[in-house]
Amino acid sequence: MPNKVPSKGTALLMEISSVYTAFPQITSLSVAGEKAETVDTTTLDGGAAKTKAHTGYVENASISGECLYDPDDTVHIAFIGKVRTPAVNNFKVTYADATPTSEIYAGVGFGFDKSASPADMLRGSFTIETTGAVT
Amino acid sequence: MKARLHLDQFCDISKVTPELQPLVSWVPGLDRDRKPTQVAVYKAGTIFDGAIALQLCKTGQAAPADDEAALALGWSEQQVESQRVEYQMNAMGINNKGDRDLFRAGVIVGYHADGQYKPGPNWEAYHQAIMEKEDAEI
Repeated sequence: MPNKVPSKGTALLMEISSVYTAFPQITSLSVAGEKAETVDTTTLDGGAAKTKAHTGYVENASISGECLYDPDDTVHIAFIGKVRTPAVNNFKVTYADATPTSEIYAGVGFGFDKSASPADMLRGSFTIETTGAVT
Repeated sequence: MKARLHLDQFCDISKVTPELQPLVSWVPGLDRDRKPTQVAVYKAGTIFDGAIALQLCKTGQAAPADDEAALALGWSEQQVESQRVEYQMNAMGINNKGDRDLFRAGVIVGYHADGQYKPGPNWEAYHQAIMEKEDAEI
């Protein structure tokens, strides 16, 4: 029977020097865009209903989220380092189910935006484009 | 420069250097398809040497295990302990500010799979104090 799994307890871990290290102060996290790719195979002599087929490829997921940004934090510094000096870096997403379930994504394209406003804390917004299979 | 891990940490085996290989342990786990597999970890108590030791201390994953690391880090024992607790919360996905306060105070030690609090050593005392406050307000 499916369980109602809470969002709280979900964690993102970044590989730093081979150690998966928790990304601190995350306020939201999204893993989106993983999708089997299809192609329109409708032909001029076909029926009314359009047809599609698999290409055999899968569109990779992108990971994005927001955090309370700390310019002195080791993990935030390491992440911004990947933005400025790109290199493939593994990330692990751990959900809060009973098992718990973990998925490893190879991050290849990184972004990190910062925002400051009088009525809020210093915040960061991050994106991770992934490559290859999820393991 | 040495540091000792506070808790088990997952290891990215694809990034393990020859110096770190002896530190890797394998524990039973599940793969993405929920099939049993062996998962690489660095176990709590593992001693890291070199620059990685300082990095692990800064994140709160480890504590200095020699004077060189303690000097390089430059933190008091209280700061090291505080960062350990911060990291533990990050690793457990305790991001809500109120929940972090409860964790720091020992009221909770985490979440159950259904999202409910796991009571900590100060759970009873905390709720007793709330009840007393409410009684006083009546």
